[in-house]
Amino acid sequence: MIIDQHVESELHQLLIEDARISEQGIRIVRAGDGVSLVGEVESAERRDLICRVVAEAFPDLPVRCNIGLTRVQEPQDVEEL
Amino acid sequence: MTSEAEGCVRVAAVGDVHLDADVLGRYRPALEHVGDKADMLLLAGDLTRHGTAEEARCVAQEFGGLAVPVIAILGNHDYHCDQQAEVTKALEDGGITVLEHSGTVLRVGDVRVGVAGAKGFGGGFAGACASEFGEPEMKAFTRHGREAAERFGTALAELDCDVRIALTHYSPVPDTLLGEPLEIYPFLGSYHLAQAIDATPGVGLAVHGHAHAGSERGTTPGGVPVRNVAHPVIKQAYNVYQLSSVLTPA
Ligand SMILES: [Fe+2]
Ligand SMILES: [Fe+2]
Repeated sequence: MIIDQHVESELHQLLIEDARISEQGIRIVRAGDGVSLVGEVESAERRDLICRVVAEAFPDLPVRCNIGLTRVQEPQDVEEL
Repeated sequence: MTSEAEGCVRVAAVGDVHLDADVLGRYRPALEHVGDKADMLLLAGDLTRHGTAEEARCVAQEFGGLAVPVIAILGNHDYHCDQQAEVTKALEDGGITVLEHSGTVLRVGDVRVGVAGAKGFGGGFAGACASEFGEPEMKAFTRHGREAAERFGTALAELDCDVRIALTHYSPVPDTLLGEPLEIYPFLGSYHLAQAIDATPGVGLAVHGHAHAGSERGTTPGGVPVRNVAHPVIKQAYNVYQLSSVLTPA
């Protein structure tokens, strides 16, 4: 599968407009003959679902999932303005 | 040590938590001690994924019943299902104050802290912004951003307080968008918001979200510190900012 700007645009819209995903913050990075999905989401379920939906929509496209979970630690410092 | 003793105001803030049932409980451990660290918690919009009342009830559960007052605005995601009224009500039922072109004043020690909030809108920044020209759709887009900023400015100016905080979802400045593609800046914020902030004296902090790939710090042309607290930017449950410098008694 050739990844051109059309594929990239379609993929980008899928990430935002597919109601199962609705993520505006995932970047699509061309990597070798496929793409790498890069970003952070709020749950492991969301990460897995994104990669599954993309693989379904583009079965011939090798997809690497570089999506992490945004950390939720308590802050240790205060910024004085 | 209390805030009163320190003579300062500590503001906790986070945006873009995009809650749904799958996230319930994730933030809670970090929120248990928020009362020791801050005097209030600001939620900078995009509290839900799709803007349903059900998702908003998750937000109310996660961020309700804390040791500090919680003040929120909605983001674009919270409008997606056209249920913003139900979303607002679910948050309010959870004890969260929801602002939209409105404000609220809290007392922290002897200091009256005013928070004005609005979702805001896009439109862009100096040299690369939308104009009210051409097709009706283009005019409507531009006008919506300008009117939102004007109404927000009025809410900010009308606060009767000692120090003001500006809370928006869209960014008032391009500084905190650094990391986002330049091409989408007009969808991420508007210079009209910064104009509204700079038009009122005594604004100690402007907080926004929306730009997940942006950066944390910036300032308005008038010198007000701007902080992008989108969760993927701050990479922790919330950030804390201390507004001591603007609070020196007159
Ligand atoms: Fe967001
Ligand atoms: Fe947003």
